[in-house]
This record gives sequence, C-alpha cells and structure tokens, in this order.
Amino acid sequence: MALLQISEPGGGKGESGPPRRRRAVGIDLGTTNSLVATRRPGDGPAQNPVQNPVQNPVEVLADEVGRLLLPSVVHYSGDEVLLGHAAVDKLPSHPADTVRSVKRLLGRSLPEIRARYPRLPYRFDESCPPQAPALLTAAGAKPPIEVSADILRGLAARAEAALGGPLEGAVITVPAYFNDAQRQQTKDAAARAGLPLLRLLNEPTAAAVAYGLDSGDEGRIIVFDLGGGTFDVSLLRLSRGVFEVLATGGDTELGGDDFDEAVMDWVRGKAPSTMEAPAVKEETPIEQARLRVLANAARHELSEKTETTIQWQGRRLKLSRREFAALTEPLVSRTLRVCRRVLRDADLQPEAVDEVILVGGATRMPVLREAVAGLFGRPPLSSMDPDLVVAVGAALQADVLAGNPSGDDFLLLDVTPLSLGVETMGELVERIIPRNTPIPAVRAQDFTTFKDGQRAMSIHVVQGERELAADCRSLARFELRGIPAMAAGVAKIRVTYQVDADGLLSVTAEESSSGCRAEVQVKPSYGLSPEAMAEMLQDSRLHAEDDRRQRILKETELAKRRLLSDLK
Amino acid sequence: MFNPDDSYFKWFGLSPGFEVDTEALGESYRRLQADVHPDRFAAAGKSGKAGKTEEKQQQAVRLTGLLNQGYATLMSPVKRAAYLLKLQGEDPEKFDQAELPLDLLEEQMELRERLEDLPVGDVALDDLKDMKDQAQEKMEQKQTEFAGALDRGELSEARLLFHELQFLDKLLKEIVAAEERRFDY
Repeated sequence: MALLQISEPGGGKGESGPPRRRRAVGIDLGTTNSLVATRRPGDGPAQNPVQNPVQNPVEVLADEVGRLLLPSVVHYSGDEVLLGHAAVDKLPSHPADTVRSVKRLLGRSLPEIRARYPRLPYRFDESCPPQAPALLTAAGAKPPIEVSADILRGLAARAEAALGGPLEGAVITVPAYFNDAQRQQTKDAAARAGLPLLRLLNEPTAAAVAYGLDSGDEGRIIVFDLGGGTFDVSLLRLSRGVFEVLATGGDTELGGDDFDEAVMDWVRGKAPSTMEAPAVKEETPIEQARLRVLANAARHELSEKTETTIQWQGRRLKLSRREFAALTEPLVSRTLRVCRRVLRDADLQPEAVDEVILVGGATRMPVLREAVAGLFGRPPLSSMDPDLVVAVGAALQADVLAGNPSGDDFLLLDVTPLSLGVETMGELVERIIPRNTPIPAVRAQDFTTFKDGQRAMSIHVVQGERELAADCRSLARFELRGIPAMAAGVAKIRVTYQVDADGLLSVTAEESSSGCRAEVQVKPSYGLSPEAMAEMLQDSRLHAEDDRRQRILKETELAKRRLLSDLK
Repeated sequence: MFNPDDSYFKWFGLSPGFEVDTEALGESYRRLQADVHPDRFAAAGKSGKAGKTEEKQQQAVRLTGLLNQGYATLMSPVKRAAYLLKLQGEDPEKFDQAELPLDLLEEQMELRERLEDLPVGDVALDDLKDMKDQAQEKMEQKQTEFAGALDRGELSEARLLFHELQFLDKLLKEIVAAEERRFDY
C-alpha cells in the first residue's frame, strides 16, 4: 500500500489556507498586578490594542467586565478561592486569609520572610521545614508557589476562553534580578498550574522588545522597571532584531509598596502627636490593611495633583507632593544608585544611552520621572502604558518561541545578574561566571586534591558578589566521590557551570586525569541556607573594604601554610 | 553555523591576529547567535517529539555557551593575547618568575603600594583616575608591542609581554575596585 503524503500543518504553501496559530501567551506575573497578553494573527490591530501610537498586534486579554489588570491577590476561604478584584474586596475584612504580594515570598525561607517583612498579617504553618514555608489559610496550608499557581490558573482560564482552547505555550516574566531560587519557584508554580512554559523572560528585556519592535530603533536602551515589589534596570543594545543585554542590576526588595510604606510610616508618626493621649498601640492587621489602602490612594493622587489629604482615625492629614518627595528621597536615590552601577558595569556614560523606557505602575510618580530624566539628561519614553508593556513583550516572545509565523523575528540575548562561584581553600569564593555574563553560559575550571590519596571532593556552589563563601547565597553542595587514589595535586577535577536561557544553573564535576570519570549533576534547589540577594549586593558594597582585609588575611594564612608544608 | 573545533577567529570570519575589528566581531557574533541560540529550538512539538526538542535545546545551550566564550575571548585584549599564544603552541599560563625583568616587578610593586596608601574617602578619586589613565595608556602601548612581537614570530618576547599585560590588567581591575569602594553605590 502506498504511503499517503499528508501535508504538515503550515508546511504547504497556502493550498490549505493559513496554518492554525498556536495558542501562545505572555504572562506578567507581577507583585501587585498580573496580566496575560497574546499576539493576534495578522498585522491588523487587535480588538483592544494597547495604547500605542503604532498599530500593535498584541492584545492584552481582559476579564468578563473588561478589566486588564488582575490584582495579584488570592483569598482563601473554606469553600472557595477568590482571585483578583474579588479577593481585594476581602483584604480589609480577612487580611490573614487574603494573600497579596506573594511574589516577595518566592524562594525565601521562613526566617528570612519574618526578618524582612515583620508586619505580615499571615499565619505560617509551623510544621513545615523553614526552607519550605507555607501560609496557613482557611483553605489549609498554601506554600507561596501554590498561591502563584492560583494566579496563573486564573490568567490561563482567561486566555483559554479568549483563544478558544488549551494553551500551547507561555512565556512568564521574572525580574531580571531574580536569583536562582526565585526563578526555580516561578517555574514550579507554572508546572503546578499546568502551563506549558516556553521560557522565563526578564521583565526589562520584555519591555525593550515591546518598545523596540515597535519603533524599529537601533541603539542603546535603558529600561527602568519599578514594580510593586521589585526593581530592575537593564541596559540593552538593539541592532537588527537582536536585543543584547549589556548589563543588568536591581533590588528585589524595592518597589511601589515601599513608597506606600513610607507614607504609612508618615501617617503613623503624624497621627498620635495631634491627639491628646492615646498610647501607641499595636496596629491590628485590619487597621494596617486600611492604612495601606489610604496610603496607596494618596500616592496615586499625588501623581495627578500637588496635594492630597488622608483621613485617619478621625484626623485630616495634608500631604504635599514636595513632602512626599522628601519622604521617599532615600528610595529614589537607591534606584539611581542601581542605574549608575549598571552604566559602570557596561562601561558607559549616561549620555551614551539613546532611549530611557519606564516600566511598572510605580514609574508614574513624578518624583521618579524627574530623577530618571535628570540622570540621563533626556525625558523617558512613555508612549506605552507602563503597566502593560511587560506583558506585551512577553506575548511577542511567546509567539516567536511557539513557532507562529510572523513578520517580526527577533532574538534576545540576556545576561546573568549575579556572579556564580565555587568555594575554594580558605572559604574564599572563586568566581566561575561573573555577573553580566551573556547566557546561556558554560564555563569550566580545574581543581585538584590537596591530600595524598584523597578519594572525594566536596563542592559548594554559591551566588553573590562577596569574597567569602559564607557571605554569599549557598545554592548547592555536593560531593564528587570515587576519585582514584593519587598523590596530592595530581588529580584534575573539572567543574563546569552551565546557565541556561532561563538563567538557571546546573553544575557538573568530573575527574579526568586518570581517565576515570565521575560525574555529578546538580540542579540547585531553592531554600538551601537562603540569604536575600538584594541584601547581599548591598552588603558587598558595605563590606568591600572588610572583604579585602579578610581576603588578604586568608591569603597570608594560606601562604604560611604552604610555606610550612614546603619546609616539612 | 560554526564548527566548535575551528579556531575562534574562524568562527567569526576574522583573520587570526591581535588586531580585531570589534564591530565586525559583534556582527558575526549576533549572526551566529541567531543560528544556535536555544530559543531557536523552543517551539514545543515543532520538530515532532518533545524529547527531541529537549535534546536539541540542551545541545543549543552548550553551543551557545561556547559561542559566548569565544566572543568574550576575542573581545578582551588580554584573553585574546593568551588565546593567540595558545594557537602558537605556547602555554601562556606557564612562566618562570625569574624570566620577568626586575624593573617591571618593582614598578608593579610600587603601583600596588601607591594604591594601598591612598586615603579611604573619595578624596582619592582624582588620584585613582590618574592611575587608571596611566595604566590604560601603558596597556595600549604594551598591546601594540605584543602585536608586533607576535607578527615577527618572536614568541618568547610575546609571552613576556603577555605577562606584562596580565599585570596591567590585574592592576586596572584593582583600581576599578578601589574606585567602586569609594563611590556611593
């Protein structure tokens, strides 16, 4: 029987009509709000094209009443899970069962969460290991990835309804400055929600794609991305459809939320002094939630007006834009410091930047716009809605990765935000892949044994900029066993670090001098002696001098030991 | 595409030598990336079986890793110099301290000491800038000498110059680190 030729979908040249497009979406899984977007077939404008001077084929998908933003809030009760706006309504009355800003908890241990966010209204499940915390809600224990997965499920349902079938590909964005644990947990949340993940994409890179493809520009772009809870800066070079990240930096603990906190603190400090007696009493979670809503509203109002009033505990407090600027000055200068560092890493002056893109709702604050314009000497671009731009870029990338035919073909070359190293003699860190190395990256380094007949070697993988291993984030520890007995210094152990396009690391070690091979593959898992990354970078600045002394001390000590063993 | 067994110069279509047109290097780098980057193999089920896609992507990660390393090597003058020596069968890592001229070592020691002795605050920034400019100037001069020695096939001289480049590179990194400690970030 003859074989029948069956034409591949999309393989033939127009004889069977246009090929069916794969249902692919871009998801911006934000701290405060989340969105889902897709590229519509053809180049015609979408039903609700993003506010954009040029026709944009990307459609940000709305809910049944036309809202684009899904607040990243999940409410758990005995019999239902409420998402988004419905959950926000429960915040004032059920703060402990209504989870907001869960992105801040991803990839962190319980002690770390408690130290960083002492005022969280949630109960934590004490029976969970500290490395894998879970929130205790009316619907049971919910680890942060489960809460993220619930948000993803809601977005997927929205997209499937709009696209008429199950999703075939999704790109999820993460802050460029997310560490390995935070990326891994985002990936796990996608798996839990059953999403076919094509790629994790860095948020500022996504924004550059949305703007860059639109304008057809060539040149250097800096993306200033201040979200609800994270801050990223990426410097990219765009040339002929290739987006090459030159340097990236950020702070995973800085966002619009902190500006709200600054206002809340101002209100707290202001309120008692005008009253006769009330002793400062502990704020209840419900009061705290209400105050947060007021502070947030005041901040938004100050983006439009020069003065606002906050009504709190029977008092009217006037807050001017100028006062607000003074309150938030330390936060603004933290963002500028990150910008300067990124420029320095790329070895560029501010004038060398051709365009400045603002991303994230928090960049609507005039105080930030002015500061950024001042640093770069040019007004930032803001033709696209800063809340939507990341999802738009992710949708474009998802469309390309899913293999849908489109006019635009582009390639994103990203970098690793933090240095990856290995602990060596004297607890020092040997950097294997320095920060801002283009990814995927593969680097190998050779090590040897230091004792005669040594049969095993322990390898400690760390991430961070500090010089001592104990001050960096520990990603993984593993042992290479089965090294044949040899004199010290003869064995050749090659340690290879590989970072994939998602920014995730795997490490292998292999003994090769004797022809005998031993190999270990490690996927660093989250939660291993965690330490916050933003703090680490800050630490590395604060402690640079300290580190150098320590290093000199350790090196001297090693030299002495070597001398002694030579003498023996 | 490129053959991993070929020299980095061949990958990027450049003639081997110290002088490199970095613009052209960047162009071919981005062109090659477009061929090998794992995102080119991401389309789920595009090639039929999911397992095959996975395997292809793994291979692409390794190839792109190599490509990035080749690019970084040719972009950096010091790494490029080491690589050129290796291509000539020299081991750039191996050298005898005794081979180095004494005045070079003395000069390096002096510069390091000067760096150490600078005041801690940002009053030292101007001095650091001067030191950086001088080191960079020297670096360029030594690079020209290295290129010349390599062209003339004087490998032992080239090797010596390479070690001078390494010293200067390390010094520059230390100056930059000293600057960073003094900047407010």
